[in-house]
Amino acid sequence: MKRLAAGLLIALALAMVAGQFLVPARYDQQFRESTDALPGGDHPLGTDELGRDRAARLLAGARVSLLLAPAASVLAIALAAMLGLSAGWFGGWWDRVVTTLIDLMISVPIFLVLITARAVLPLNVSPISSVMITFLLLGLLGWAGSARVIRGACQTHLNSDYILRALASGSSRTRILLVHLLPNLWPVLRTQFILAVPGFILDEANLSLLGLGVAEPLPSLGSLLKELTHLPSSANWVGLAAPALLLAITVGAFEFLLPPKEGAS
Amino acid sequence: MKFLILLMAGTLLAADPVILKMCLRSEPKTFHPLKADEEASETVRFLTAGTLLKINRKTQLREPSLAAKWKTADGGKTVKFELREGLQFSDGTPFTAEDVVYTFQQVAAIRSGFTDSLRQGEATPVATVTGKHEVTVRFAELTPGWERLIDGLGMMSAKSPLGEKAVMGAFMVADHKPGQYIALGRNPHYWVRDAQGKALPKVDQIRLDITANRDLEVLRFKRGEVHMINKVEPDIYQALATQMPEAVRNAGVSFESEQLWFNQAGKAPIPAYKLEWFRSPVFRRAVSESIRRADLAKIAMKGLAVPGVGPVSPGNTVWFNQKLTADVYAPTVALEKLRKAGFQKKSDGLYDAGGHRVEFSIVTNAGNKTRERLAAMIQADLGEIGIRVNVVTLDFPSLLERITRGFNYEACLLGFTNVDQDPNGQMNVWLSSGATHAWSPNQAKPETAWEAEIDKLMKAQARTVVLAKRKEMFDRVQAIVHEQAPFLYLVHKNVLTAVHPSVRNSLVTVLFPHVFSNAEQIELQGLGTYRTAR
Amino acid sequence: MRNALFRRILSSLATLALTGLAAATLLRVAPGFDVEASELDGRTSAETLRQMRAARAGEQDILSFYGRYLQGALRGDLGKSRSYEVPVMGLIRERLPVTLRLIALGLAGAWTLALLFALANVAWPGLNTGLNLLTAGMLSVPAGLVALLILIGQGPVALGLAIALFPKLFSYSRGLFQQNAGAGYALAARARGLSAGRYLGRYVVWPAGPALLAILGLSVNAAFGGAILLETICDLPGVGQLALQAALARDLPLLVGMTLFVGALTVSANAVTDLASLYLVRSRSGQ
Repeated sequence: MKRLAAGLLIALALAMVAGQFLVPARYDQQFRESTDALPGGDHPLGTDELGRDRAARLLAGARVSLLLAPAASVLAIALAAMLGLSAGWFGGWWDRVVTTLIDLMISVPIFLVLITARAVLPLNVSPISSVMITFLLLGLLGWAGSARVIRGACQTHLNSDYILRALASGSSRTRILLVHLLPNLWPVLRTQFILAVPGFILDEANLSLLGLGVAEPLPSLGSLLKELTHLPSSANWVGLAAPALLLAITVGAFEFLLPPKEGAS
Repeated sequence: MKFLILLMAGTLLAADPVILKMCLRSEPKTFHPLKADEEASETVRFLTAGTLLKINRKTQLREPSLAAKWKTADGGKTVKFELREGLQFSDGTPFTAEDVVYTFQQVAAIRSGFTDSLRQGEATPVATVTGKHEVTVRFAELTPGWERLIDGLGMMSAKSPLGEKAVMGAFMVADHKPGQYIALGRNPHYWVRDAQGKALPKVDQIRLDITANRDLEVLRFKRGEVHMINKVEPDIYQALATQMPEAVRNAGVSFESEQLWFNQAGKAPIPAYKLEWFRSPVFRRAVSESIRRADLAKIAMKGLAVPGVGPVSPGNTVWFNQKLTADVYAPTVALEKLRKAGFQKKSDGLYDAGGHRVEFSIVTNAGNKTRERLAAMIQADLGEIGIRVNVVTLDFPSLLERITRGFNYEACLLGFTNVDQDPNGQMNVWLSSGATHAWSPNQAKPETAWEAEIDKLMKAQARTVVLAKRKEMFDRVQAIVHEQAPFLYLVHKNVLTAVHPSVRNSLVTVLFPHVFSNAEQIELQGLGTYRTAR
Repeated sequence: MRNALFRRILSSLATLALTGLAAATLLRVAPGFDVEASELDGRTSAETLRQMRAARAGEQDILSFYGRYLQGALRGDLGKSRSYEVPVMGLIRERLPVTLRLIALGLAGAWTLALLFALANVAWPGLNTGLNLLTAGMLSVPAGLVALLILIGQGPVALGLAIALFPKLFSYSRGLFQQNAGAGYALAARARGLSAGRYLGRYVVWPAGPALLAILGLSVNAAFGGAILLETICDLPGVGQLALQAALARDLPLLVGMTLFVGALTVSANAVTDLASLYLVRSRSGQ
């Protein structure tokens, strides 16, 4: 199963790199004589409503989202781990500061930050930089939930028998952190990461309502997934469902590849 | 026991109220007839307000209403209205000449886009009682097309304790849950009867559900839970036409347009060389001629629109300048003109005389699929002559702030809806001093010769009574706009509506409101039994 | 314990006040705060525009606005919505039952399914592949599509919420359970021949209690986030829909009122679960 997952991910990475050779059309080329075409012939997945090749757009969109979403997730989880871990570890007033910060981040309508962010961005930024900024913001703002989970897990472990035993046997605090605590938190971090990737990809699509989605003509997996809502009235269900399938395969492959646990004590 | 049987019989015999259901796209800002400025409020006003006269939305002719007849005098500056006798407001308060005077006093007291359309400078028309059932209205200046303003002026009661809630129209607001729905009940004192002498309106209630979700609206329409859709988006229309061909109505070219304009405001915080392009008519025309309008109509609008011509849509047969046609796609001609103006096409794009790469952004409102498609197509078309376009979608308040306050934008793509059929309704768009003179508003004095000429023509036509003379002047305005291209008109949309087969007597019109201008006559048949075959 | 409780309540209140201020400030600095769509109306005269703008002057200074607002809020008055022109309190009261019902059903459904599937996965590790694929699939479908399908099938909207919440809850609880099941003392107990039920209950589920509680508070919050989306798409008149409309319409009193109200719900949910897990941890370590 692991081999299959690794094979799929490698194949996907190759396809993204070699996209131009697999699908001759550019992702922004409008074949205006064949809009909304069904799969077949020149267009393996058909065309969209402006006549753009869906296969080319899928590869380009995957390239954008599957590089940026994991990066944003790493950023978010790293922030979450730093804050959650330190809050659990040090406790006291620092814990209260972090808890307040988390509650604040969770309760405040964050999309107002995103609206304002769009307002301060210059207008003539290229589509790729604008989508990079979007994912950066998602990463910077999306740590609160994970931080809370990590803080909770950290507290549980600090109170558990093995840490107490390690403390009693005179282990140094650094050793406890590195040898006992971190490995035991790995499953939590892993789960949070795997959940964050598709979460951010879909968030980016929803942001188009606020004007912070990917800009024309660049596609992203999110913007392609959004077209799924046309499914009930469209004949090209293959072309519409392909992005969801691609994302599901990627997320599934990550599940199999990242080991669920590491060095449980 | 006997009581119970009686009760049951009572509920069985009482007929269910007949409820006509429609959706509003947003919450009406007000139910006050003089403050209604946006479509949702105007819908409620149209259904509830009584007016002195009416413009028939089908024939576009004036028809008497609360005034049985009227006569103009003083070269058209004064109108004498003869009121019908024995009419009452919805709460039973009698309707008198004093109420008309009161309504005009309120026009002077209240500031809104609607009352501004009756304002000349700061002066509003003055009404005086000149007979038992007679009111004379005196306009400060000559007001051609005054009938269309009076058609929107809902009469208010001077005496009713209900204030503006006492109405003279066929319906009155019966229930309102903010953000959810408005129920309009029948006005028990409505004075109009049908041909058989029966009381109108024919339905007991109109329910207006407030929902911005158009997919949901059409889903409920297919189930028969919504009876009419006043404006259907091209995508939805196309899908509905294959599923329920008997329900869709295409009334032809509307008065509305989608347009693109460049920011020419002197105080705009954009690079000076860009402002120079945008202020150059050669540049604007070259861009216009490099857009494939036929494709925009065919693909972005699903073939349910015609290529954009000018400020007046060909659908507006009274005011359209027949000599104008939509710009033809001619990129080589456009490039040649640009070359003469100092621009240079290199292998990687177009450059201006100062060596700046020609690149600009188009802002439009996020979430509007039609506009996003239009922008993406224009982006591709202009890419072919070497212009790099960045499409920026913004949420509506952010967009408004940019185009009305900070002027921090380069080009904007928007549609002007609810366009008045008379040029006087667009005065502030065309006057260079106007606040809605979008490309460069609030000019102290006209910045260009052609804007000065438009100012002169617009003011002159407003002082002219003879329609043919006014048309001649406004034709010239249209020609100037076409030539100078401050607005690049992209497409004129069709009026697309949907009327459920259970609805009888609905009149589909190009003028707003497109499906319920005769709301009091509309009936529902086969209620609850009609099912779509599919 | 009582001290901890007291401190927690105090800090919750402070967080709440901060939340409201943050929301008000964000809305104030968001572009388009004081612009009305009617400014594009070709009929409106310059003088009318000037008067319209002057009418908004009272909301310009956010600190004094918020000070006045909090004074009102303490008296139970959350102000008057600018876009609906009715008291905010009335709007919330009218719409709250819809959202509470949606969230309660969605959470109940999601948690039940998540815990059952997670337990089944621990009991039968062979299910791993299938469940991995299921969650990957569910994570990859936009909530908009789920909502649309529910609308077409006329199914319950809460189902959509349950579907949206399930993958996270499942992944999280499965991770916890697997970790516990792999721990030395659990394996030893298993080797001693403990019955499957007791083994799962005592060594897999019970130790996960505090961590599950921590995420319970979070899931209430996530459910509210999901309710915003689902209520908007399915046109359900709840407070979630109201919150989004308030932000898009730049309706300051409504948005601040909504934030304070929702903030109160989530902050207290978090505080309760925090205290409960603290209690669990302490009572156990005291064993």
